[in-house]
Amino acid sequence: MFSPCLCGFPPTVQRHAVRPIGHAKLPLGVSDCLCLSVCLSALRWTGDLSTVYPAFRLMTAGIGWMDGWMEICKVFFHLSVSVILSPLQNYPLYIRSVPSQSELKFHYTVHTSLDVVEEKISTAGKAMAEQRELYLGLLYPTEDYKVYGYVTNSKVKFVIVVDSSNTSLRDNEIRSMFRKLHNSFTDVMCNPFYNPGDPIQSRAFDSMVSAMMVQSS
Amino acid sequence: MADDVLFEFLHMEMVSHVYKEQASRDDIDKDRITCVSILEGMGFRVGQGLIERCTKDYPTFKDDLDVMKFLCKDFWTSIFRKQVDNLRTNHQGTYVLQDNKFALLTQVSSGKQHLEEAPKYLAYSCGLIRGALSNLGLESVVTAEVSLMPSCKFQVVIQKS
Repeated sequence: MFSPCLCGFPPTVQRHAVRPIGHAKLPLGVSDCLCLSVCLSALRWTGDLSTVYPAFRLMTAGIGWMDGWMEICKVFFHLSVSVILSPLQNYPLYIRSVPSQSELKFHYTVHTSLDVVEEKISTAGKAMAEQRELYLGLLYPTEDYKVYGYVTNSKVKFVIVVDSSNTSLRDNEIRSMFRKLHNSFTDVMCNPFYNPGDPIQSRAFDSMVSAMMVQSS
Repeated sequence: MADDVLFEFLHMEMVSHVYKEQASRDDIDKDRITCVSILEGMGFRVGQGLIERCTKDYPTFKDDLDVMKFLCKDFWTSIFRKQVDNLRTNHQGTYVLQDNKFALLTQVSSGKQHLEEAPKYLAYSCGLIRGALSNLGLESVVTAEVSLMPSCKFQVVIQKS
């Protein structure tokens, strides 16, 4: 009933979920190939062909497909410090990680942490709350990294994700990182060539963020 | 020393430039509307940037009234070196900011002379207020009126979405 993908790997999840109508054989397209679709996704997320292609080759070799999958998994779960911003509509204006891989994971982390941020903003409404909130707590007990948040008065949220193994980063260092970020963001905002809501492409901002990440790692 | 004056001159030139540009194109009525919206747009963008800078070290605002008070005091002071003289509200989203000696109008006249030209010189400031509020998360409609120079009133209506 179900045919394997072009690479010989078992069929896609979607096709498992689909009931075949009668016994009609659907033509197999390239998009049906699970290995290819996963590798394409990995490539989109990381932009790094050098790590993804060998994995794909391994996967399609037939015998070594398990090794290929291991390679792809390694691409995703590389931990690092990253810095992300997002405005009112909660899409990221800027995202940066060291090393510059596995940004998808941080996208996901940040999106979930935004919920916690929103919660904190709304509950702290009545009390004269502090502008910043630190340490949103371990969002995933299994993963070992810390997520810090900061909200400006203009509802721009800054999120820093730090490796837990990096225990040298203390509270006031994180605060000063956020201060620097806020200052640079204010400069970006005052730049007449920057339209609010666009992704941030300022080189000054980039260099500030790089310097900060180098300093903390 | 001459700091305040610099912006006043620039603003006057800005207004006359925008009107001169438009005069060479379409008919008179459309001119007025486009010019005012151009000036307002400029003010909007500047307001967004300015508010970011002004609120950098400020704790979070409690509610709309708090935001308006900040606008009347710190924001106005940072731009026009004085505070707004009077703030009135109906507690349902409408605020009226009254400035008895509006910096950008003092040089125009001090009475009823040139009253019809006054709106041109208020468009930018309306945009400024709207931009500032928009970045603080409040969508609004800002209009201005003058009955006696150089005092003017800005009416801010917060849009409840």
